[in-house]
Order: sequence, then C-alpha cells, then structure tokens
Amino acid sequence: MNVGRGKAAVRALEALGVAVTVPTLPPSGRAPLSQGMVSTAQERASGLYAAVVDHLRAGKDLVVVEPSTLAMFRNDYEHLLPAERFDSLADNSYEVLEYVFGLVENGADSEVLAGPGGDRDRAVVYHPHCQQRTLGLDAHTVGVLEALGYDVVTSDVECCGMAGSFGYKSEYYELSVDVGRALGSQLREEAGRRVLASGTSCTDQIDSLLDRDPVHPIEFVAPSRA
Amino acid sequence: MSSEESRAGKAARIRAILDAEGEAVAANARHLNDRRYEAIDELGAERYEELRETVRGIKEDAIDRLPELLATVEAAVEDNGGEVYVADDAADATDYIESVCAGLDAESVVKSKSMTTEEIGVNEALEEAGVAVHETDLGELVIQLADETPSHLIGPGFHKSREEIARLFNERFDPEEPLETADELTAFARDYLADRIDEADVGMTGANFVVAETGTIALVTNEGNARKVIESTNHHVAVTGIEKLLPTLESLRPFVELIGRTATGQSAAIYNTLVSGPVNSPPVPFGDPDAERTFHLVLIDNGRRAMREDPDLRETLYCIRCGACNNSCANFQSVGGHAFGGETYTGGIGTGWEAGVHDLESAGGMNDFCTGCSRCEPACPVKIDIPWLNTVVRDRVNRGADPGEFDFLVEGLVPDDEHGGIDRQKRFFGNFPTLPSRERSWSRCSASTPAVTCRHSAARRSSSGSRHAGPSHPGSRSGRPSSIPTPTRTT
Repeated sequence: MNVGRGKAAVRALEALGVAVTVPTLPPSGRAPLSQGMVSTAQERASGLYAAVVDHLRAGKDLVVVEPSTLAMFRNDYEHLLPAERFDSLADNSYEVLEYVFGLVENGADSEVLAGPGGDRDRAVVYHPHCQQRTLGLDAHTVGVLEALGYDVVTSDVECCGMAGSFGYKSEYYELSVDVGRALGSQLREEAGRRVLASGTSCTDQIDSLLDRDPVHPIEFVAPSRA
Repeated sequence: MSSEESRAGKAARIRAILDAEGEAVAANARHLNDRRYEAIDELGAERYEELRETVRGIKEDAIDRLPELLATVEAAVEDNGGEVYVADDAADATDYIESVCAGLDAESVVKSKSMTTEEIGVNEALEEAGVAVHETDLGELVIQLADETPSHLIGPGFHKSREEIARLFNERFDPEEPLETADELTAFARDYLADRIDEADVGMTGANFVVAETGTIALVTNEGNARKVIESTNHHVAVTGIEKLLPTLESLRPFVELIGRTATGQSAAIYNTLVSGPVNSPPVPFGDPDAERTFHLVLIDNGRRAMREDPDLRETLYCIRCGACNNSCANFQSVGGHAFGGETYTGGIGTGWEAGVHDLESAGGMNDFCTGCSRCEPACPVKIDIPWLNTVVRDRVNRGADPGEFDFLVEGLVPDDEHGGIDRQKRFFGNFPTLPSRERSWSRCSASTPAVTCRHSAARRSSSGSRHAGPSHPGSRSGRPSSIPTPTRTT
C-alpha cells in the first residue's frame, strides 16, 4: 500500500499554508462500481458521504490524491447519491495538484515546493490518469510543474491499459499489455525524462512494462522530509 | 466448463484477434481519433460544448416526443408521395422489404452503408428470397466480399489492411493487372460498382437523420454512394431506427456541424444529402413513360420503444452512430469491434445497443471491454454517459446469472448484497478494499489511498462549463486549465 503519496500531499499542502486533516475514510465504491456491483457501490457512496459530511459542513475542502476516487466524487456519484449530496461532494472535492495550482494562483509561495536543480531532473514526462483527463484536470498538474520551472512533456494516449483491475484479469492481461505498448513507446522516446504519473493503476502499468519507476507528481514536488 | 477454462478461452480468442486484426484496427482508430481532436480544436472548445448541449437537448426532446414525430413523418412522407412502414422487429422489417422487392420483381438491390440493415439481417433475407444485394460503401464491399462482419460503427472494414484488401480483390476478381495501391483498389471498385448500380432495380440506404416535419432523410457519406443509389434506381428503400427522428430541418443543422468532426475529423463530410423521397429527378431510364419513382421509409422498432421506457438504456437512443466512442477507446484501438462488439454493434455504445435490440447475453459478452476509463465521455457529441451504460448492463448481467451450486454457502458471508450468480472474479475485485490489508499488500489498492481534507474558509471553484464532463477538454492536450480553485488561506 503506497502511503508515500498521501504523506507527500500533506507535506506539500502544509508547506503552502493549509491546515490538513487526514481522517480515516471508508472506500469510495470505485472497486464494486467497476465490476457492475451497483447496489454495493451505492452503499459505499452513502458511507463515504456520511464520513465526510461533517468536514464539508465545517467548510473544509476535500483534496483527493487518487484520480479514480476523485472521479467518483465528481462524476460517478451522480448516479449513486441524491442530487444535493452529490453536488456538495462534487463542488468541494479537488485533485491534489488542482488544489495546489489554485493555491499558487492565489498567492501561495511556490518556492516551498521542490523545483528543478541540484540532482533533480528538469525534464519530466507526465502521464495523466484517464478519468483525470476527462475532468480536465491534467492541465493543473502541468501548470504547477511548469510554474516550478520543469520542462514538461505529456503523454498522448487515451489510457495506460491497466484500468483498475482490468489488467490483472488473466483473460485481459494480453490486451492490457497491448494497450500499454502505445504509452510504452512514447515514454521510451522520452528516455531522458523522469516519469510522473497520477494514477495508481498507471504507475503499476508503467512500472511493470517499462521499469521506469514513475512517481506521483505530488511526491515529486513536495518539500523533502527534512 | 470451469470458469478457469473459459477465461483461457477468452484470452485465446482475444490473442487471435490481436494478432490478425490489431495492427489495422489500431492504425485506423488512432488516425480517426487524432483527426477528431484536430477538428474539435479547429471548431474551438467553447463552440464544441455549445453544440453538444444543443444536440443533446434536441435528442432528449425528440425521443420524448417520439410517438408524435412518428405520426408527423408518416403524414409528411405520404404527402410527398412516399410510404412509411414502422416495423416492430427484424422479421417484420425484412418481410416488408422482401415484399416491396417482390412487388417490383426486383432482381438486385444496391445498398449504401447502414448498420441498422446489419442489425435486421436484410442482406441474408433478400438473398434467400433470390434478390442479389450489392454493397456500394467501399468498406462494406470489402467485408461483403470477405464474408465478414463489420468491426466498427462507421468503418466496417477497419480490421483489414490495404494488403489484405488487395489480396481479397485480386482473388475474387482476378484482374489483368493485380491491384496494389489504394488508388488502384478504389478505381477498380468504382468501375465494378458502377456496373452493379446500373443493373440494380432498388436502391437501399440507411438514414443518418430523419426530419419528421418534411419527410426528409439526411445521408452523410464520403463517397456519394447513398445519393447515387437513390438517383440511379427508381425505387428507394430507406431503412433506419425510429430513434433517428428529428423534428425540423433547422434541428438537423447542429448535428451536421458535429457528426463529420466526431466521426472522422472532417469539418463536414464530402456528401451531405437531403432526400425528401421520392426524389424529383426523372425516373431511369430517361424517356421511359412507364417508369415511376417510389420511396419507402422503413422505420425500425426492434426494441427501441422498450429502450425508450428503460430509464438507463434510453440514453442509447440519443446516439448518432458517429463512432467517436469506438475511436477514443484504448481497448477498442487495440482489439477492435470483433472482440469489443456484439452481434451488430461495437465499442462503448455498442453495449447499450446490443442490450436493447438483441439481448443481455450478447451485451454481456462484450461489455467487459469497457473499463470505465471515461475517455469516450467528452468524445460523444450527444453527451451519453457510456461508462454508466456499460456499468448498468454489467449489473444486469450479474443479476441475471444463475447462482452456482455452492453459492448458498457463501451467502451472508460476503460484504455485499449482490446476486448470488455474480461472476466470482468480479465479486472478488468488487470487494477488494474490504480484504484484510495483508491480503492486499501484494497489490496497489487504489481505494485505500487516503483522501485528505483541508481546512479552508470559503474555498470556491471558479469554473466554466460542466464540472464532470471536463470543461472544454475534449483533447486535454494540456492547455490552460479552464477552472481554477480559489482556496482562501487561513495562515
């Protein structure tokens, strides 16, 4: 279980002047929804809403690291929750780099984040998560990276091919690998660049196909642990 | 047969299709997808979103008023001197078309492309009745010669490379000079088809749209073959689904503006033909005093009325069959419609169509190729929530399956309320986050990545456009973000 990106998110947000709470939240329902288990997904959605509603009412913003989870809040929950609840979640949830972008645009000091220099590469290749792209949120990540002085190239595929559990299913494994080939060849063309990827599935796919050790952009730009 | 065997069987089938067709499908689908992005960039993101809103509204209204529009089109076509037949199902439709052909002593029919005619199986029915059927769309001609099924909504021969098509033509026609280049193949087809069209008694088309008010069908082609088969024969049979009805000519305009772009990346298709049959052109052969033009509009139900009553499947009827969802799908790009397809329809929206006009089994056989990645959502000109359609169908398939003989042992022990018949693999992955973390530690679990809440007062997002359809990001070739959160800092 990768908690590195969560910790990095907290570090980055706190450095930008945000007071961060990390509650224990139940699963969003993405897993059952992806398998067509709609009534289970509905239960999960209600459970998630119940767990965050007090935070939302207290005026907090909900910042999400995993794009497929955010897509639940901003897209799929429209089918799973009553309209008001969906609206309040959707209106108040953000992808983590989207949020960072907003902070920096509104005056937060981006110097606290890790820019290029020293042993840090300036050139990166970024693979946005598919559902994140659909929400129009890849641009914010690129915006933050460029504001920090990175030279960013973005991948140009519709999907990495892992797609949650899809690539783990034996009957679809070869297809998943075939889909990943397109991304693979684009990343190979950018062999000199550090690979950044927002999605957990994408990271797995890139890792297993290419051995490139991708990192979440928030981990990449968060101030170091010291 | 154990589920392990059937997984291996499925994997083998996919592997075979990847090997035989993957390269051609990928090249064609990706090409059209790239062209689509360019065409929409050229149109401008704002205008694209505006048009989508407009056409979505028109379709919602049209499907809502479908019974009224049916009555309107019947009156209008009859006023023009044509005939309308509303067919309940495939057999009803093919019987009618056969009887029209029989009444005309027709020996041959030339067709322009129509997926609905594939759906009802009209070619087979006519051939059985002794009527020759010749496809004039180049892709349809290819698969007719190859005796294969379409692998894409608008490019039926997508899975074939130029080399394969050349081999096919050379084998079938044995020309003096073997055909090789695209130009040579097309020129040959043109001459071959000119003869077929010349000989034909009936011209059969589909219809991309049907304008109820005027009894007009709109046909979008790049070859002009739809117009040609209509003009060159005296008897025009247009076959299409009842969901194609639009109220007025004016309502047609935004669709014509969009369909070329989303389908093939063209600002407009080469031929946009409006036909309020029977057409005014003199019948052929010119000068024959007994010749007369007739027009038959065959509108197909075949499950569409039921889809209209189905709150989840209804959205499928807004589909304008442009194929953007096929082209924008990473899985489809790799494997094509012979895997990600059912009896007739392919790709993300294909699931909705298969469930509605064929059956759940057919839809269930293809729909797991939809992973919910959502890249088809901003691609769809009528804003259909294609991933949701696939989820709903998957849920129905889960519920429809027979519980296994040992499933009663498991009831009550699983952390879900799903039907006992749900595929075990799906149940495992669907409950993945509830497994003890020790069991999950071998794999990333996206659901367990913590969401983080932050304290801010009055954080607002200044945004334009729909929040969940990606504000003006059909291409998401990262431009300037169009919505920027404005958190207020408290320190």
